[in-house]
Amino acid sequence: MLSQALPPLLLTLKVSGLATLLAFIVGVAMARLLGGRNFFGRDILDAACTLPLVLPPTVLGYYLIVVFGRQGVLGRWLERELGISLMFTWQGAVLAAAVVAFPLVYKSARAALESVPRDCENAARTLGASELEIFLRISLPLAVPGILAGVMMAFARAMGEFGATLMIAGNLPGRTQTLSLAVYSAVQAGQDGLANFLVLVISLACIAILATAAKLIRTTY
Amino acid sequence: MELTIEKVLHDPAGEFRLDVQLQSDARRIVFFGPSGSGKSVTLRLIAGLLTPDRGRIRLNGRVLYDHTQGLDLAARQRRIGFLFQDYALFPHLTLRDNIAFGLRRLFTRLDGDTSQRIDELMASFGLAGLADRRPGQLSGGQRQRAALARALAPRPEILLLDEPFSALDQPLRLLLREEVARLLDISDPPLILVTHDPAEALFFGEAIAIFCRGRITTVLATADLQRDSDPVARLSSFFDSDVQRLAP
Repeated sequence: MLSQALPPLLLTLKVSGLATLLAFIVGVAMARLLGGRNFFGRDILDAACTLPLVLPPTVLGYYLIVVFGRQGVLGRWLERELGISLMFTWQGAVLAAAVVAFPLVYKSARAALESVPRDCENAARTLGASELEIFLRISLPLAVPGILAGVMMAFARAMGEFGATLMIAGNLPGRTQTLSLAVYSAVQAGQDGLANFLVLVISLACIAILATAAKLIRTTY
Repeated sequence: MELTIEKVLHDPAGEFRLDVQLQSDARRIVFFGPSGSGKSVTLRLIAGLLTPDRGRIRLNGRVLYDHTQGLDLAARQRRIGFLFQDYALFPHLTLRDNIAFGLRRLFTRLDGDTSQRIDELMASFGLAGLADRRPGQLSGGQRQRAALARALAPRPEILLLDEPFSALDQPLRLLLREEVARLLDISDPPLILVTHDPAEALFFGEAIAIFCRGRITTVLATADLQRDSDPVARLSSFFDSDVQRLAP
């Protein structure tokens, strides 16, 4: 049973780890950008960044196919210039999980950055710091507990990703079959023992992650 | 110092119009007036934390802002020390790192001289031995000394103090007032202090600029006020009389 559970587990950890990293970088950058001064279209952009939280994963998967598929605008460019195809590859699963997990990082990073006292940033300004320096030395460190909590949620969400992954990466055992897809396949094939084991693994992992996130949220200075 | 500032601020309560003019050669100026009269906003405009709509700001012969020339020096280039009302110490940094903040830029390290200067500063501010504490582990008085040391560390050309004692209760307030005055005498920077306490204004100011509804209505020399039988009462009277005189 372990030999059947191990490949999807390892793949899931790889995919959700990379997806979380991607969501973290883009999410914090977007939070900094949209949390700054107001500009035209900021609210629309904010809504767009939150969209993956509310859209059905299958819809997101379809969007990804349209953009990154063989006929998609970016998909064609990626295949021609870099020789990368995201369709039915684990890289595609990373993209799907990153998109679904992104709003969790973005939302918590935005809230955490907004809760940084304005006068701490102002104090840094009068002490000669540039805006980049204020972000790296003051705002980001003060927002870290909140951001990390969001990152943990994002990781848990990426681990459980199903719909969008299925659409873009398929369900290929050993190649793109993550834990949640393996559970689906095991149930479909009537392998109840395997399904039970996989469900237990993913549940325990998520409980550990969420407990850690709750601890981080309580961290204050 | 030469100030001509116009600024319209919008907040949920409505519109606030600031129109401030001041020329003074005094080294220690107090902005005195009731809360909401525009003292703190003026301080932030001088520091470059807010941008005026029009006007001109000149300090020690340096023009920091002039809207006719399109000149608006960034806060970080103004060399102005600012003591915030709630001190605004960086809660995630140790006391030493707080004080060193203005002396070290991103990706640079402290050299030996600067490091020594921080040690001396901490010693003269009674903070020796607290270097590794975080602001949350300090007492109110220690926090204020730390904020003052941090603001003075980069040797600013002028120090702005925004109601530095308003967060404290009366006995501590008097104690810290004396202490801050003593610490300021060490480096003796030119300063502007904001307060609504007449005794504090007389204690710190060589000149007292009286604020009322977004304007400076009067500038008094403290030396002249001291000749009065009761300078505190005289100063307090500006609160009420100015409000009445300017009332529509």
